[in-house]
Amino acid sequence: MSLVHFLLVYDLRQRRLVDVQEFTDAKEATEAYGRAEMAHLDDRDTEIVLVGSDSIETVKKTHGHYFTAGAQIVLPELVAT
Amino acid sequence: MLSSYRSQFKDPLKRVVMGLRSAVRTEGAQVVVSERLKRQPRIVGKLARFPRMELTRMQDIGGCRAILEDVVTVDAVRRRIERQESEIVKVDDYNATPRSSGYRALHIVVRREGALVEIQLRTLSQQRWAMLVEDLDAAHRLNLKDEQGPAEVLEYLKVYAAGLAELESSGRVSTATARLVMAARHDAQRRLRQGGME
Repeated sequence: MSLVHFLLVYDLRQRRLVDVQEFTDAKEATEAYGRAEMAHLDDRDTEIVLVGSDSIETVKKTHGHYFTAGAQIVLPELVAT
Repeated sequence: MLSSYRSQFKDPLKRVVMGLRSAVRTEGAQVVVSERLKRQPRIVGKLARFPRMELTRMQDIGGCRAILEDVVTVDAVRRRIERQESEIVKVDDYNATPRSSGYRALHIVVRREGALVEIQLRTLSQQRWAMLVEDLDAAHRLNLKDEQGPAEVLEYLKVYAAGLAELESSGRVSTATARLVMAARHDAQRRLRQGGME
């Protein structure tokens, strides 16, 4: 199983991903991560994260909040059973 | 400089992730595992919040996470990790002792090739709760993740987390718990509608 790295660029104002880059080379990915962070230094509206996993589908499960794309948040209730 | 320091964790993290994937797979569970190197702003933020913390002692620059069905599977995976090659440095059992925010998970800090790596084992419902926190942080520009934010929202998250844990462990939610969650939810919603929390 080879790990894929996804460089996610998330816009906090729009609450959605504005860029996703895929890397199969981990070294390349970490270098791109550092560069992307530098490019957005002091930008409090952008979150940049590098997540490695077997697929983007798994990243959606482990880091799902980056993929909700501005959906309205409902505070869940719990129903007595 | 921070970026190159962080990149030292890449290879140890990779090996810990391989071990984690193997532990989950051997347990017969679905492998839902990711890894990440901590974001630089989060590293800086953590150093600012804990002035006495040294960068070299930070335990979660390299981190990985597995989402598992339930706490029984979490405990089984934990036992497998403890038998693996990495040295166990610390186990934070937030299932037995949740954080004051309500956060629950099992965190294991291991040392691999001289580097500290954090393993987070979360159940599906714990992950759902953590995702809600992240969503609220993004939507309202809060930092609930670090237990900072309006008291009403923090209280709701705390009682909701306790309710989810009750549901997971007993298969049911008591009337008292459901009422607590409902009341806290009402207050949190009102607070969030007021806005102005940025």
